[in-house]
Amino acid sequence: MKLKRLNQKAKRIVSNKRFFSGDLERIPENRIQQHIGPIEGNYGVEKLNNYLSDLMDQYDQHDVEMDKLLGPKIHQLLSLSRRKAADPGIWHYLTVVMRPDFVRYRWEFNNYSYMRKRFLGNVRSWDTNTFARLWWAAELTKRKDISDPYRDTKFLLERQTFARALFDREYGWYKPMNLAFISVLREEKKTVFEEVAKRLNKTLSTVKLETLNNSQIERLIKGITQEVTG
Amino acid sequence: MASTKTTSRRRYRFLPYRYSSNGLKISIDEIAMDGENFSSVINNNHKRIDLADYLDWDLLEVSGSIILREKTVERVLPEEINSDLPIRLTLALRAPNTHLRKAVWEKTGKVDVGKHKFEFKLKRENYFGKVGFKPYLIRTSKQETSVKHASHSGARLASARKWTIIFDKEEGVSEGHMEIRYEDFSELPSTDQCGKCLYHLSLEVPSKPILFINNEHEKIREVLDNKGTRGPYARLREVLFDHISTEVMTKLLLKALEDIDEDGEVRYDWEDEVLNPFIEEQYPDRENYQVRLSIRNEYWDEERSIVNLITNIQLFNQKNYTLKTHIEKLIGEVK
Repeated sequence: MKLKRLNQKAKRIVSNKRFFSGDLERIPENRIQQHIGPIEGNYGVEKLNNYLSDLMDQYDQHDVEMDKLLGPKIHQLLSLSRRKAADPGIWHYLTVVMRPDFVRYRWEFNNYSYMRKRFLGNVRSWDTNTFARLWWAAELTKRKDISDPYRDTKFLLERQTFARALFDREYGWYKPMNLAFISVLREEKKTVFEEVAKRLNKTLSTVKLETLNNSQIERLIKGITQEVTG
Repeated sequence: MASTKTTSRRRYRFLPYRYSSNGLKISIDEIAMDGENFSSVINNNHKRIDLADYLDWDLLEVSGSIILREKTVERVLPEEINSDLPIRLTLALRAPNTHLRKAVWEKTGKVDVGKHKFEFKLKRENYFGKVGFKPYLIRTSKQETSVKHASHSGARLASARKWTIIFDKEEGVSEGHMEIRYEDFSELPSTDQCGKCLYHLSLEVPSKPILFINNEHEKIREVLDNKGTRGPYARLREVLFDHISTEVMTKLLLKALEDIDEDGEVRYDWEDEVLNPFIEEQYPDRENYQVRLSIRNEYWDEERSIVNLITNIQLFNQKNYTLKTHIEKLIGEVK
């Protein structure tokens, strides 16, 4: 089983309410095949496929707990460079062609556009494509300095609002920021870390984030947290 | 820290100290891919390094220089210039597609006015699409003697226009064109307040605007799909496209204006693509980035109305889209 990509022209075929809801389980092969292309390299696609089936056996439908297991796993099995992971075609192949059933199992069909982003979301906005969001969460929080490199990833994927406070803003692209943000705010309540996130963003309009190291960022976040908690 | 004002329209921020958005000058002197010189890809006019046609390489080396002018230092620092200046220079890079921000070069230690050479290396495997970088002058210590100047360590004081490295032409993104999709509006949640509307510009994913056209108006779709170049259907198609285009361009320009930051930069490439022709047409005698800062202020100023800006957009649209000519041709067909 090889990793492949789906080109952008397939979006027109895939953008279909019946497919997103599951009334149409799969896009017929004769319609989708022409839009599938190869990806160089060997990745653990078969293992990922089996792992997704196992998760569906172990967890109830729409259980967010799946994320914290799947995030590290997908990052390990698909050892992509950032360049390759930036290709939305890979993620669209996984959601549309390989495991549309898993996408529907993980997300409840609320409406068309919500489900469309779970299938076809781009990579630039974090919380969209079912698999890309997990891979990137792991990529942006994986650590080399502790025994469990995915400790922060699991924490983050267990608390969706925390993850959004971090990744919905562009400071989440700076890895030292992510590690400091999690380290300082992991025990704080939602009202606190959301307010800190807002104030931090405002502060960073005058301070050049890329010039700060981990401990400087930690000091900055601690200061703002003290302001917020009084 | 940035000050925040609240208006009835929206919240906004301005730097509350002296900042020089064009106070640094940056030039790129040399580009090498895997050690081989490729300086022909440097476009100084458009501040671009276009590598999209080169497919087989791994390492990019960029070298150039940043000029820090005395008048910039005088503007942004209260300190005497002949003393050790509390500043450093840095080159910051942003790669939206690979969620990467980093400083690729830093001049620490003593930084004086004059020319500072830099070089940095980028591994291709970390980047995709377009990547921007720009220099910043950063304050390195606190000061409390002047309220007009930045007081905190780490404050950015000056910058220059952004340079863009094009690693790839992105699939589905072509300059000057947005994605257009025919959809049944009765099934599209984003148009639930207007199921009978003809079109809808979606900025739900702000990096990629999408124009939805209602599939359910069959007669109109027939006109829009018409490929002819003569006859009433062709003329009607031109009028329809002009009408939709002017409305869409107004919304796109307003969104781009909203996103202009303190340096005159916008967030997305498409915003540059709509802003630049607008500025060139409506403000022909003024420098692009000065106009950006000026119209940004106009957009956010609570004391002034944005009617003037909208008037300028409408004038631009009427010059850009020849609605009048197309209507006259249509009249000629139906007479």
